Amino acid sequence: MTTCHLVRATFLVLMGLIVSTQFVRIRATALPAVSDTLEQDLRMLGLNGHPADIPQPLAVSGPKCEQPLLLTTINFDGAGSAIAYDLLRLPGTARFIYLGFVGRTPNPGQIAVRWVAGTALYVLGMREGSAPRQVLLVLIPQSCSHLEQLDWAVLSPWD
Amino acid sequence: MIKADTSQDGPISLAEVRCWGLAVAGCAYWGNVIRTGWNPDAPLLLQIMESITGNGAFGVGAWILIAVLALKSVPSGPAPGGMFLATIATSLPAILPSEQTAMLSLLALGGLWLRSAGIQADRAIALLLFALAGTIFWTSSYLLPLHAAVGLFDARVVQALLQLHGVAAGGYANIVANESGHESLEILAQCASSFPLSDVCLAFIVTILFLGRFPCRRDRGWLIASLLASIVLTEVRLLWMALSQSNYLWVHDGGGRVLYSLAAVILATLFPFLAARVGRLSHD
Repeated sequence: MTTCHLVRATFLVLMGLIVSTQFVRIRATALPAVSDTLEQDLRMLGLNGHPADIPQPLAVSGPKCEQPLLLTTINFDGAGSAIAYDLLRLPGTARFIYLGFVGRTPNPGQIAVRWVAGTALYVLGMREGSAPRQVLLVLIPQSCSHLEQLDWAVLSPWD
Repeated sequence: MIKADTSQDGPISLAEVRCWGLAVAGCAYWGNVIRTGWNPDAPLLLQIMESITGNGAFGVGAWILIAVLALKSVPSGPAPGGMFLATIATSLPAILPSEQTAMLSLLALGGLWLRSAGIQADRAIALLLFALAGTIFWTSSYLLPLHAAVGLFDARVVQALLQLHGVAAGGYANIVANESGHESLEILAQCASSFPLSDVCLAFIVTILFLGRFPCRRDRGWLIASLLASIVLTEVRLLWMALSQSNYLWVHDGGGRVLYSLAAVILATLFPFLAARVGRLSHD
């Protein structure tokens, strides 16, 4: 085989690799939604709720709390932001949750870093699932302030 | 180190190495287009055709133009080993199947074409590769929050236009509420007026190059006019959708969608066409 053939073969192998990795990735294209495991994650926090209504506000019952907690998701493309806007006008304490980040306000810097890092690790094959494209918002009623101390990161963990 | 000279069938030419680089980049670009628009229920060939046509006429046009220009730009002589290795290096990121790596690959290859540019056609290819990379970046998921923020502004513009039209309108966040028709419209990132702007830029470059000219500083005014026209068209489309449910269905899912696409293509080609014509007239 001449060098000329070797050069052509190298480019053909590259093209084959590019096409095959694209098709392998097609099977894993579906983006993870927060609601996929939400019911189970809520139970870990001692809360009960069925995520069928997401992104409509989901009412969740918690221990020693008469009023329901309200949950919704805000997509990065803006879907659900109007519902979140409505929720934030209600009395209570907000918790924005995204890949291990928990805050009273949606810290765009923190969320962007986790999103980029999560996506990059996924592309490099160092992370099982891609980073979700939605932030979870929980509104804790004023009368249930003891629930503010829960480990809310469980609903969207980094791992 | 690989030497380009071979004993049996001559050296591999620089032109061939450059064409291989473009072929690999094209593979990465279209592979990503097909992957991101994948629908597991549709037949494979139909799927591929739909992905290609759905990507927009100017994406296809850019690659056709790249092929034509590459045939024009045929440098003589064998490829230096460094050129071969650099071309391979630009293709390596594309093995990872993501839009970001395809974008990196296009940028690197564009840089390589620009660095070794001998004639105008080389610079045109580099410009097209940069424009394609820019389109991937602008419409990528990383910029969705930016477009969603522009959507908030669009919502207020549409609300004001509805009120000017005599319709009782309200709204908050990315929602426009038509209180007369009891309808509300949620403007998402992909519907925002900023989202199609990279395609408008690509259309501008493709059309100007197709008309046999290289974009220059004089064309900036026409490009800005083209971007503004696209923004106005998007606002008109959103306003039309906000007027009634039947309008929404017609524009979003019915015949109005085709009409909007047609209007967008006509506007996107009109301004570069005018730029080329006026530029030629002022030269004469």
